[in-house]
Amino acid sequence: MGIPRHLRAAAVVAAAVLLGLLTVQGSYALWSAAASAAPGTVTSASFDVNLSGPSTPSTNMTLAGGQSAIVSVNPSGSLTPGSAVYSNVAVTNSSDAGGQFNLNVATGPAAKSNVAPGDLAQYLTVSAKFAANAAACGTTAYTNITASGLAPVAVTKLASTTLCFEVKLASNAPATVKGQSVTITIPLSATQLCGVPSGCA
Amino acid sequence: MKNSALIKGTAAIAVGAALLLGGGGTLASWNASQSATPGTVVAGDLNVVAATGVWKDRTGATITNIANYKVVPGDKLTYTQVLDVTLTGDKMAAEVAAEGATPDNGFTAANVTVTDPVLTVGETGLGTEVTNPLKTSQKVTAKITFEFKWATAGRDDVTAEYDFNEVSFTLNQITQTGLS
Repeated sequence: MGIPRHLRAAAVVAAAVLLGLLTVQGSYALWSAAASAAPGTVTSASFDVNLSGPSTPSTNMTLAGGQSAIVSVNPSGSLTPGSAVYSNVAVTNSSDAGGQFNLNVATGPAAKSNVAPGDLAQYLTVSAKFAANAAACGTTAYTNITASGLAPVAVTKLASTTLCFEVKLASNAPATVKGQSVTITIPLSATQLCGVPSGCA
Repeated sequence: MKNSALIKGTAAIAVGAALLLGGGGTLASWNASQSATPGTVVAGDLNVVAATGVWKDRTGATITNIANYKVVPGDKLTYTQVLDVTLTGDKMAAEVAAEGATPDNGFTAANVTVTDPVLTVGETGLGTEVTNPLKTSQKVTAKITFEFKWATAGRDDVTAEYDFNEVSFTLNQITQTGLS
């Protein structure tokens, strides 16, 4: 009436397993220590370039939907043969970049199109220049916008430049163009300048 | 008559006691003693303590608060974390390791390069890579780099976020000859 053989065998196996576990645990329990760090979150800057004309509210160059903003600038005054009208658009580098963030602001070629049937466009010359601000635009030192646009200027973070326009009516414009209108489009671009001392590949 | 017997008995007891005392004197044989001082057994130490981590930009300028710094294409930031490793013990040896948790990456993967934490000798972050096991107390620096690639086009990844979550450092003693 002793302990059945299978129970004794099970007890032996259990003892062996327990002994094995104790042995492994004994050799595993060496010292250890841990520390941790939280580097935090890296966030990229916004790429905001604000445009504003003399009578237009400031707008981001890129709208919320990703499309380009259109700033309408209506030059004051009336054109007469040999005279010119002027206007301007302020361009501000409004990025919140943590480090250096310079932009190249440039224009594309000016496109002229007659609003209604007419031929006023061919008698207009569009010139431009960059100035520190609207007050510095003046009426001199404008250059024709070529097919490659106006030479770019660098604008540092939170600084601005002003694109000044001059639209001149040729002195030989015929009287038939009187009262006609022309839409002039000048594309404007802003490109980040390399801020890496060793250059950007 | 009774008093005489009492006196005689008392005298006999006194003589017996005296004999016993005299016999005690004969017990004082040679003996000697010595003492030893095994000394004090002192345990060693094993610990790793992380100092405050530091972010720097490509030029080496310190970024005071990474939460307020906005990266742009071309930025390359380096995070260094000095670890104070304490290892004391004649048979002490340990392995140090660093492991970053899975980050929350809001950037386009192709536009950023982020390294795993690398452990270097010393506290400059410029030392050689740590070779395990370590056997003495020393400073170790963990380094992580985050690069926002210059080739990022258009307005890709503006106002994106990359959360590193937690980086853990472990120091585990390893067995040596003479340890069981």
